[in-house]
Amino acid sequence: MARGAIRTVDTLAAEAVPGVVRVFTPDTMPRLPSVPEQPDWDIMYGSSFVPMADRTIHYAGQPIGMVLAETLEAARHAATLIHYEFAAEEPVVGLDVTTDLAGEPGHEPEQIWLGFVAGYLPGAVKRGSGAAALDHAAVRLEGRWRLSTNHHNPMELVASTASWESADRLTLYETSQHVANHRNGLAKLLGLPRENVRVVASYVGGGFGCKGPVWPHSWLAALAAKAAGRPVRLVLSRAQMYTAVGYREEQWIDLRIGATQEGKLLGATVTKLSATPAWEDWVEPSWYPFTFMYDLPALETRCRLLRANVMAPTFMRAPGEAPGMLVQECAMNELAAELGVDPIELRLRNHADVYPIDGSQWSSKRLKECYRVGAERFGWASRSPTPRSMREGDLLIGMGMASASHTVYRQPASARVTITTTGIAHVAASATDIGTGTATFLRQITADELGLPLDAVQALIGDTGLPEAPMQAGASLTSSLGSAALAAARTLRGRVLALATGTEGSPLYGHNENDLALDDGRILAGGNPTGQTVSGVLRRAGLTELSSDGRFDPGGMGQVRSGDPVRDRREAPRGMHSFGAIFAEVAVDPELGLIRVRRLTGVYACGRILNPKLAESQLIGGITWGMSQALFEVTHMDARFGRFTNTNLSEYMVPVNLDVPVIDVTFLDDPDPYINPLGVKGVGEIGITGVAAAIADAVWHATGKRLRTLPILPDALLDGDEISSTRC
Amino acid sequence: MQPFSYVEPRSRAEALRLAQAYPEARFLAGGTTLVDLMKSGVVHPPMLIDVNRIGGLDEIEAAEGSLRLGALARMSDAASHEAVRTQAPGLSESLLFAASGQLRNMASLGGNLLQRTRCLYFRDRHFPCNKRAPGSGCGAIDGENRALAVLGTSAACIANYPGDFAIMLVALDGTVYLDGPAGERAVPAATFHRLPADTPHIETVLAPGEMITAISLPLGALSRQSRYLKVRDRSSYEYASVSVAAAADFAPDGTIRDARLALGGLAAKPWPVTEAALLLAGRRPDDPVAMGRLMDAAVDGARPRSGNAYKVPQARSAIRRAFATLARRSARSVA
Repeated sequence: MARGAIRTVDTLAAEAVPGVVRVFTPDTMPRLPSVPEQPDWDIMYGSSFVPMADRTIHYAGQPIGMVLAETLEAARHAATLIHYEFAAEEPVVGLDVTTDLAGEPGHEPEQIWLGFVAGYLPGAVKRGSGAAALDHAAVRLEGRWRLSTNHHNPMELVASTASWESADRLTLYETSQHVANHRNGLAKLLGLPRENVRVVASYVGGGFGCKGPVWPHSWLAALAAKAAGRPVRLVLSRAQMYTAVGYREEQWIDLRIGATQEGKLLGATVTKLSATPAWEDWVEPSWYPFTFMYDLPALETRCRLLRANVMAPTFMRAPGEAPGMLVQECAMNELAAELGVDPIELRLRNHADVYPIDGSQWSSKRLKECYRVGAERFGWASRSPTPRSMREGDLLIGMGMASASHTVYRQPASARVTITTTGIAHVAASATDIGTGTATFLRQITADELGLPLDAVQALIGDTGLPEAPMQAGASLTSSLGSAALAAARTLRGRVLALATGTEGSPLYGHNENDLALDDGRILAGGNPTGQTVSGVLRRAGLTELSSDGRFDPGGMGQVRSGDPVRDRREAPRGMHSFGAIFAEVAVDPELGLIRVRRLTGVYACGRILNPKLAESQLIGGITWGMSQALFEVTHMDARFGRFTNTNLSEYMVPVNLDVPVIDVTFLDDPDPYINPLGVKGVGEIGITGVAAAIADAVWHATGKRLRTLPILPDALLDGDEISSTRC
Repeated sequence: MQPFSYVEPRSRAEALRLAQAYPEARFLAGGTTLVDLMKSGVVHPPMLIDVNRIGGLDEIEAAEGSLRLGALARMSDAASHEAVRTQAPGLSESLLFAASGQLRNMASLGGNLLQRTRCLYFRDRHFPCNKRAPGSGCGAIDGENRALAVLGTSAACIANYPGDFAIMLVALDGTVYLDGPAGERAVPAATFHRLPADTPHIETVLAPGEMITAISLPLGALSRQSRYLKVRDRSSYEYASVSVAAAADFAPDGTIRDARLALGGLAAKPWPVTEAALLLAGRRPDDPVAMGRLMDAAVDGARPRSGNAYKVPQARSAIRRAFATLARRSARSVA
């Protein structure tokens, strides 16, 4: 049932199941004192939709009942015994409908709300006249890329445990990428002061965007716990994960792009078609990479949205860049082939020497070196440019490449560093660790600044009782929170030294602070031991510990409030991006239609790399996901039922170990003095970008087939479903 | 999952008695299919009869030109058994290419034969499915059917049989041994599974209360030169889009004396291509005419739906590839 209404509900059988405590339906679910509103500049909601509030059905998978029981098994069983009768209507889903739920052929939003990290983006971009520029192009390319629905599928299921400590004090244990966001959201929705809500999430088993926003399961757990008078744990099933916490929407991207005979880009038009729920507009800004990646003098982008019986899509790894870079880089490769130019050479001819959005300087950019080093490491020169020209036995070999890039986001962040007379330091911030190594980098930064061994620094994370950290999202946490931790540690170091040199009777009284250094808890002067220790300084001052707070504030919150995505994403008048180049080799078995990736080489310039092992791990994961986007991932929607059909990890394909080749990741030294005090750009998002385009190009190089429907499955190679690039 | 009762008989007789007394009860062996389906709400037996404590059902014996596999032998044990690896390598491959190491350690051979389809409409109780809920209709026939069958389907069901082991067993003229209320009997593996016709919920010839006790196949020139080629989108841990169980006995001059072929992944049941022996006898695997006839025979009557037409050319190529590989192996072993 994807559209209609509940006519009757019968809960008797469910209530009779042993162990069942309460059964809620839309008729009996306690109401929220207030409901989510979009936009909210302080709270990121997954959607403004409030389920269990009335009997209307908007999408398949919508929550319409909740059972509390002593065991999960009893609750799940009882839930199947709630008997509903529905008045069903034909659902509207899919991108090939002629009219949407509103009875229209879609609508074009004026602006796109992307929560407080990116704020509003314009619904359409116009830089010069992309359409007119195409008229003068010697070479033109036109095509539709069809990108499938994708889901985050973190291994760890989404879960909330809500515990009311008193009538107006809530503790929520949540699978959260941002505990402060969940605190603020729950406080507002439940009508509580923020200080009465505590949210805890120290370690989270993968998020990828689906655990950042506040979704209904959290407040449903809190409301149920209040009504039941006891703590409630709500764990989404794997199938429920497909309709409860967002996804990357299916999208068709129509591109027209033109260049001179010399391969200089002249202009492009980009139109994206996707579906959104009846009650709000969600658009992944897939056109965004076209605005910054190349020297593209004319650009027109549009988004057309269809209202459909779907839950709201949401952020998913590298939102905007993942699909946008895919289409843009595929187009560059197709143009290169049309022009008979090497794909790297075409990119060099269109390299954006300045930030194309406003003509300002880049904070740092080493993309050309990424191409050069990547080509060397990969052996790009061994590629024979003609398609189907490289073979090994039954196999066709193909090589492809693409650029990678991600916007640098910066968020306000706070951290506290404390040193004690035991010689142990603590670094504290509310940030969650979603597998990126949050605790590790906080300890590293603190240890470096305080001159302590890593083992002497402990991290306290994942609790709203700690200094407020930003969302673990947008590849921005390490850079933003790391800068705050650095500030805190630096201040603390100064205070320790000030105590040592400014306290009468201290052996170091009167020393110049600049002459002193901290080393493993000792204080050195001019590099020599002084016999003084940090602990001794604290004790002499009558302290058992000393704390300092640090803050990173990118200015204007680094958030978009003016509706101008350019100005508000950054403080200094500079373009801030991480860059990279990715190279892929595939082996295609043309008779069986099988594509296997044999090599992936990525070279990246992402500012300073704090921890090479953690950073490489992020890139390997991201690149693997890009490969998965190219060859595996699709959530199927059966339009007749308005329901996803493969809501489990057996039928939703991701690569297995055997599919993933050795991934060669190199980071270039990329000092960037403008980004933040640490010089870190972030590595969490860039890995997925460009990979699918490199693989699609490698498939073309192997087979001669341009395939623009993702993922590329054996069917496409066996059915002769070939799209030759079109000159118009 | 609905509540159920659980019994653990210590003898085959006791298990069969329980099965006869409680017709809706199900035997539990490795549980890798059944428990999964119970959790998904696809099946809900009121009683599970755990047969794992019954002795003598997990033995693997190779003697006098025959391999006998107990129904409770685990996939991993059978796959790594010396006689299986050396005298029926294709059978070992069919087991190793299935599932994951963890699942193969649990799953029994008898249960493996009884794997249910991976059809998305069967496994999600929110959709209509004649196999899960007879009479409710087939969601797949005009729906998401990329993975499903093109051979042996009916208007009521286009589900594919998902297993691997059974395909090789059919190719190698295996036999399935049953025991039940009417006593013991032996059934050729090729006729153990049924076509869906208008009763897709009945998948095998197992009578109510009957259990699989053993599986056997002849060992000889064919089994020794057998190969299981499994074609799938990803490299491992996926069901076959198409699979080929092939066996050929080669004469010293490289011609084929005898051959067997069965297909998996694309058919409603393990799909024997009985013409293989006749069409390939006296021919070489690279004989385009003979191979063309075999490929035609193999996919004769295929009825692709909207999403699975690719399986037909894929199967044709896979058949040629499997016999070519066998020929190479044979030439190597002669040399």
